[in-house]
Order: sequence, then structure tokens, then C-alpha cells
Amino acid sequence: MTPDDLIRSYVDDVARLLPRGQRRDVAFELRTLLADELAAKAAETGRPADEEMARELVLAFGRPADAAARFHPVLTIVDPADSRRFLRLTLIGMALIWLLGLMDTVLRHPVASASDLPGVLGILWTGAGVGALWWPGLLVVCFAAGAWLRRNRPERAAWKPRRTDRDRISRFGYLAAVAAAVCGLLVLFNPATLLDYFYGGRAAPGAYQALALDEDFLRHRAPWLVAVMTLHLGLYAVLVVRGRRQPLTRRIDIGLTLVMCGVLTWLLPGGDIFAAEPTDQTVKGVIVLIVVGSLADAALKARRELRRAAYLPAA
Amino acid sequence: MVSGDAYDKLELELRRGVVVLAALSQLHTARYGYELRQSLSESGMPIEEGTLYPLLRRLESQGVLTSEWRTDGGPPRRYYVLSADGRELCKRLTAAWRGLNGTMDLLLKGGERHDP
Repeated sequence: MTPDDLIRSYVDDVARLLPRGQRRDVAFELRTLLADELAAKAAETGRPADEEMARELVLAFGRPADAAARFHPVLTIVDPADSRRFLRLTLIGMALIWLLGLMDTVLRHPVASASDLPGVLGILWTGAGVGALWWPGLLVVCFAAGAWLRRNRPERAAWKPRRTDRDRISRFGYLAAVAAAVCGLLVLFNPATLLDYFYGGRAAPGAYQALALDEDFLRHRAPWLVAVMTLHLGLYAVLVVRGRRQPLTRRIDIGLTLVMCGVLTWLLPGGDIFAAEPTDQTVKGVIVLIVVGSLADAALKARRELRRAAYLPAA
Repeated sequence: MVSGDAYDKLELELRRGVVVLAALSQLHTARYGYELRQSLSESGMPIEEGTLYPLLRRLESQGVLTSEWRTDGGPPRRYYVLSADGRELCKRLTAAWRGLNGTMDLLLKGGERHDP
């Protein structure tokens, strides 16, 4: 390969990565400039230009992609300042999706023996494994939109101070949550009342069967669930009265959330919750979502609590 | 002791800050890329070809430079020269550089006085 051929090949590779309108002009100029550089190098060393000399020259110019990138303004999709947050959210999100997928797969396809494992792993991989890639894709879109907004509407994206008193709670919101939870518990244990209320006692018998709780669940597991929920509702009632969280209530809240997650997780493999199989499977799926959401919430609260401790002056 | 690698990186960052002004300062008369690089290098400001040539294109697309193809008896070359906006920009950047240079002189002299 002659030095001219090598330069031509390099310039072609650079030009291919440039916007169509710029290609011919930049390629022509770049070829001339590299030829000038090569001639100067040859004169400097006192020997005619050869392939090795031309190779050294274009390698110093950079990879064709790098060289082409320098010819137009930098395009940033995720701002460098956001890269760490992007990576953290990607990893946490994918881990959560895989965890949910794992729980869902194991519930739907129980692993009875070691021979079932490859099949279950295959289902997991083709389901949640690959499927989880929607999450980083969504994050790229969100971060790119955020970066675009900051560049084009800097006044709207300007930093604003956070609400300083994060311990103050919305009494109405918490009261509504307590009321909704009490109603939910009543409906869970007396579904017939709800059906009678809406259908005036004329609901199809199948509807009553679909919402009937499993006898074993009612006798052995439901009391634990009710006990923990009552404790949690009691805590919320205290918060409604006080109007704000305090160090002790914050910690009790985290502890009770973890206990609730433990009890809910214990319910899953412990047998049926509803007598009807479709209802049971649906409710168990919802419980998995509640557990994952609650664990994420508890983790955030615990992290905030640890930060508060870290910001206190050292003794 | 700061490693040579760290020194190289920091020195490169310092140079990067003045590459545009250095190039503009030499483009009151039309020059082509290689000629400009030679001129800068002879004045003690060597700039890598991979940095300088794309920079000229970017400055042209921003309206700071104008360019035209000339043959002048040799192979065709693209000559760059400051536009009216480019001359104004060069003047303002020069003033900013002199101000910065004066400030840095004062700061560095102050620093030297505190050296053991």
C-alpha cells in the first residue's frame, strides 16, 4: 500500500462518519493537509515518505470516529454530570426488575428438582432477563430530555431549594390512607358485603366464589397479617394526631415496613390465600409488587435516616 | 510529589484553554491549515493536527472564520481568515487574556512570596 493509498483509505473512513453535506469538502481538505504533513515528516527525516510514516501520521490523528467527531459540535445524550446517577438508577432498576421476574417465575414454575432449574432459568432469561432492557432505554430517553431542557430552557431547569421540613405530613392524606386501608381490610374479609352493596344481593355465585378466602389462610396466617396491619395503622393514627414524623416514629415506620414485608413474603409460599386459583395468583402477584415497592421505600427512608445521623456534628 | 502523568494532563488543559485564541491571533491574514500549524509551532505553540484542523472547521461554521479554496500554483488548499465577527471576537478574547494574564501574574507572585 502506498502512503497516498493509506491516507485516502483513512480519509474515506473519516468522511463516511461526517454529515453528508460536509463529506466531500472535508475529505478533500483533510487529504491535502495530511499530504502536507507527510511531506514535512519526510523532509524532516531525510527519507522518502513510506507506508509506515503515513500510518504513524494517521494514528496520531486519532481513530476515524474520533477525528470525525471533532469536526462537528459535541453531541451529548446523557450529560457527564448525570452519568453516575444514570448508572446507579440503571443498576437498581434492572436489579429490581430481575428480582420481580425471579419471584414471578418461581411462583409460576416451582422448582421441584435440579432438573427443573435450566428450564426455569431459560424462562427467566427470555422473560425478565432480556425484557428488563426497556428500563435503561427509558432512562436514556428521560435523561436526554432533561439535558435538552436544561440547554434550551435553562431558566425552567434552574435549581430550586427543597421543602426544608420533610417531617411534616399531610394529615388529610394520612387519614385517607388509614380509611382506605381499613376499608380494604373489611372488604378482604367480607367480600360478600361489597358484592351485595353493588349488586343488591344479585351478584353471580361465581363472583362470591372468586373472592372467597382460603380456610387455612383465614385460620393460621390472616391473624398475623391483621396484627401487623393494625400496628401500622396505629402508627399512622399517631402521625395524624401529631402532624409530623419524629425520630422514634420514623424508625418504627421503617421497622414495621420491614416486618410487613416479611409477613407478606411468608404468605406467598405458605399456601393459598384465596380459594379460587385465578384470584389467588393475581393477588400473589400484587403482593410481590407491594413487597418490592415497600422494600424500596424502606431503603430510601433508612438511607435518609443514616444521612441525618451523618450530618450531625461529631462529638 | 505530583507524577509526570498528572503534570502532562494539567499542562494540556492549560494549553487547551488558549488554543482558540492562539489560532485566531494568526488568522488576520489568510492561511491554510498546515501553514497555520507551522506558524504556531514556530512561535512555541505546537498544536496537534487532529485538534487544529477540525477546530478551523468549527470556527468557520460558527461564523468566526471565512474560507476559500485557492491553488496559488500548487495543489488546491483551503485558506482561512478572520471574518468581521471573528476580528471583534479576537479583540475581546485578547483583552480577556491580558486581564487574566495580569491576574495570574499577581497571584503567582503572591504564591512565590509564601514559598519556604
